[in-house]
Amino acid sequence: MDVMARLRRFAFARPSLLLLSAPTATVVRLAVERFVRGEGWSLASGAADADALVTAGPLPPDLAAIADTLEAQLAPPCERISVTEPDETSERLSELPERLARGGARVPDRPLPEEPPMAGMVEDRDGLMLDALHVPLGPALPFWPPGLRLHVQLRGDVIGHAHAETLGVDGVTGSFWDTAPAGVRALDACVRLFGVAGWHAAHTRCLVLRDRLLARAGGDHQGERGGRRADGGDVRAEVRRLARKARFLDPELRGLAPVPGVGDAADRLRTWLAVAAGGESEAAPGSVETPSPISPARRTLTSAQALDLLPELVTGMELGTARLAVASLDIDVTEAGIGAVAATVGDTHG
Amino acid sequence: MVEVAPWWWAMLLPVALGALVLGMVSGEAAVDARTAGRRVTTGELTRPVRGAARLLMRQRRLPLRADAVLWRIGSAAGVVAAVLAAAVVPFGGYVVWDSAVGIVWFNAMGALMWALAWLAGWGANSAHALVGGYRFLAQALAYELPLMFALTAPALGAASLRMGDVVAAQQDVWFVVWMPLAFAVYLLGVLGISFWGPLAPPAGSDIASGIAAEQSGMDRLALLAGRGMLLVTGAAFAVPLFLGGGGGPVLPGWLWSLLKTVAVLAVLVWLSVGLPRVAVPRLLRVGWVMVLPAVLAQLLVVGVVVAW
Repeated sequence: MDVMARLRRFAFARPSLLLLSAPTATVVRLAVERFVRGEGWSLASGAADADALVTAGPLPPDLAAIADTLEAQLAPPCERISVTEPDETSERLSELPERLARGGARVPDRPLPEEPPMAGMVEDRDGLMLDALHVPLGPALPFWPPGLRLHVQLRGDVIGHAHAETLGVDGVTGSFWDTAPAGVRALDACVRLFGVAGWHAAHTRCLVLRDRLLARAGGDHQGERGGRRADGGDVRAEVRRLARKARFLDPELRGLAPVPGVGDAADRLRTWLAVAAGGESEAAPGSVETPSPISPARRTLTSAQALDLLPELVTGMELGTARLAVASLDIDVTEAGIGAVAATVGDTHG
Repeated sequence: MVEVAPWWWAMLLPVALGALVLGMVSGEAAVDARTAGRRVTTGELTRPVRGAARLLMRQRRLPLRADAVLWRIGSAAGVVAAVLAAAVVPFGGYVVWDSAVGIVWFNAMGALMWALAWLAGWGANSAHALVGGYRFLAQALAYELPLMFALTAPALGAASLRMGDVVAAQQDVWFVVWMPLAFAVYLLGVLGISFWGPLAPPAGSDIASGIAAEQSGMDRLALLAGRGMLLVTGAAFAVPLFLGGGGGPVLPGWLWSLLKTVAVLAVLVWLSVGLPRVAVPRLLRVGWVMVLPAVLAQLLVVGVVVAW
């Protein structure tokens, strides 16, 4: 084998994936994320650094169009892989390094997306005239709720105007989380919040714990492949440790996106961690056949309500703060009561 | 004492910095693998090398209507700034460039990042990269003045801006012993220059990697290498500045320099791995209300000790 081919194989052994998940394909998304963590691959923060676009679940037309646009932005060598069933994750993804080493797919000849239009000049907080940009956030952002797109008008780094849109929810009848253990959902929410907060260690630990709880709920007692078997209490104990450490984030989360009755982002994070710590006992061996539904005490805020509140909450926020706020609301666009929401709020002199 | 090194040391400088960066990110990769529940194998330790090879094999992509020249200067020149800064860092008994104003030179190279990070953020013509550029400038407002005063403390203690004199002045007592605050503030500044760990908001995960959002292939490699080399150079500079340079018993000077540099790097990596990102407004508050007065008080103490 010639040197170049070996070098390519070495280079692409652990590719970086851009993940676009249908909101209905939570179980596939979890499988892909678990595979990526187990193999030491990485998820790209955008199209620029991605070796492959991975789509999770069958994509409805609106998301398929977005996938095509994303694919056109990938730099060669690149691939596009569709995973529709959790069981085929490993099989579909395992062949990726070899395909990339052989040069990847031919880049489809699609026109690049248009430059986002300028919104013209607006006054910023200090009365200075500033360019305003229309920027869509999502649906393929890291740590972002699948199927959500938030259109924001950005003045510098401050959001002046926002409206939310849901994608891939036509004809959806129920959520994955309706029947999944509450602890798994809570940890999945923590994964996103810690990820957005740039707390890499806590983010990764939550991924591990989430996958462990999920594996146990599914009766897969082997849990971690090749790892030590998690026996009772160790997930719970580690979540408790994380909960103590979570106060590191208090300065960023205290007072952020407060919702009457549910508290601010810091309160919501505490609630998730408490649910995850308790969820351990619910998912303990013996009760695994009947995964407990989300406890009613867990959240008094539905995703529909959160989505309604969202544009108003993020208006006036710095972009990063808004990202934290979105992650702190744990929005699941397939949850009951969400139709084609198009909430719009913000000032009108834009 | 510190002498001028043979000319070929200058050639070795980028290689040595690159090797230190690879060593550091391999350490990070090992920690990350353990956190993610994987065994630490050779495959994990070679992850950074693999990543670099991968970026070299990938085509570069220019964002729509980017200002290619300014964008690439901003992305790639961090490597140059780091190497130039490293030229005045004594290693063991030798230094590549024995400048009479070594401390000022180092600071000037760090200050170059104001321009470079902004160009990299602005030139990409992308909202996330632009916000990253804004953030770097705001963050630099928080760390730059404290960093400059922290650098002043050893200069005041040694009554010289020449690194050789600074090392010589620490023959009996290391500066870190009576300038601990200046040392801590200096480390904070180094994290700021390379926007690393808790001071990574300009390349934050909340803005899709910010300044690095649009970089691909070699451009991305250059930007990441520049950041890593600035961090490593900062750690290496802390050794002659606060930790007695190559001084130490038994072992040769170069080995002491290396060991101390690795120790400082380990502290920086430990901080980066264990802490969440600090939002820029908070950093500005802490920087101006707490850190700046504290480092000024430190300077006062140093001044009184020197005068006495």
